[in-house]
Amino acid sequence: MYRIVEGDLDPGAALAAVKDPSCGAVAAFVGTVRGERDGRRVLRLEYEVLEPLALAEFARIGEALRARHGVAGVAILHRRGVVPVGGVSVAIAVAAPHRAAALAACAEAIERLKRDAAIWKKEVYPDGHRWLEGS
Amino acid sequence: MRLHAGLKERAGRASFAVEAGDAPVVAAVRDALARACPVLAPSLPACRWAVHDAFVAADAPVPEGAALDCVPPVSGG
Repeated sequence: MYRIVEGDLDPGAALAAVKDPSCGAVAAFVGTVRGERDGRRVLRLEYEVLEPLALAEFARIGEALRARHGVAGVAILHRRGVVPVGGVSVAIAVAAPHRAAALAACAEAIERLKRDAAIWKKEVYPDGHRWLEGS
Repeated sequence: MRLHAGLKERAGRASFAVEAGDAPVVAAVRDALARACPVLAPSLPACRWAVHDAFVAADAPVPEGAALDCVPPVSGG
């Protein structure tokens, strides 16, 4: 399951999407909004998503995980729009027959998403804002 | 050509139509954008390019009538 979500993102939806009786392991990553960067207070994040390109990248990530790690199920959900401090920005779940593959695939999924998915975050501070590029 | 995120903000607009000759490749459109909007020129070498839902190389042709997305370094997650 690959989704761009407007409004609250429930990590449980990612877990539910990958349930599979052939699997003995589900690994998950949940990203949340941090309230500071480099000592500067962050009020909220605003995510912009180029949705067709981002969803196509999610699908490419899923295919790569199946080929490289033998995983059975992959779910990647990412927010768009305003996410408050503490809010969930991304949820990934990966199901595999055994834990080693699930954990490795989940780690690879978030690294690839951060490198290649057409999503950008704007950090909003008390005295301004900044679009992050490449972080 | 469509702009996103920080590039859109720096340019003050979301899209540009540029003249890049007949059957241009991506790099020719990129260079035309740099001339049309000099404030973006320093950012363009770090950008990737996409047509529809796939990244394309700098030497790839831009399909007639297609929108070329300028993709600055991403920061999702």
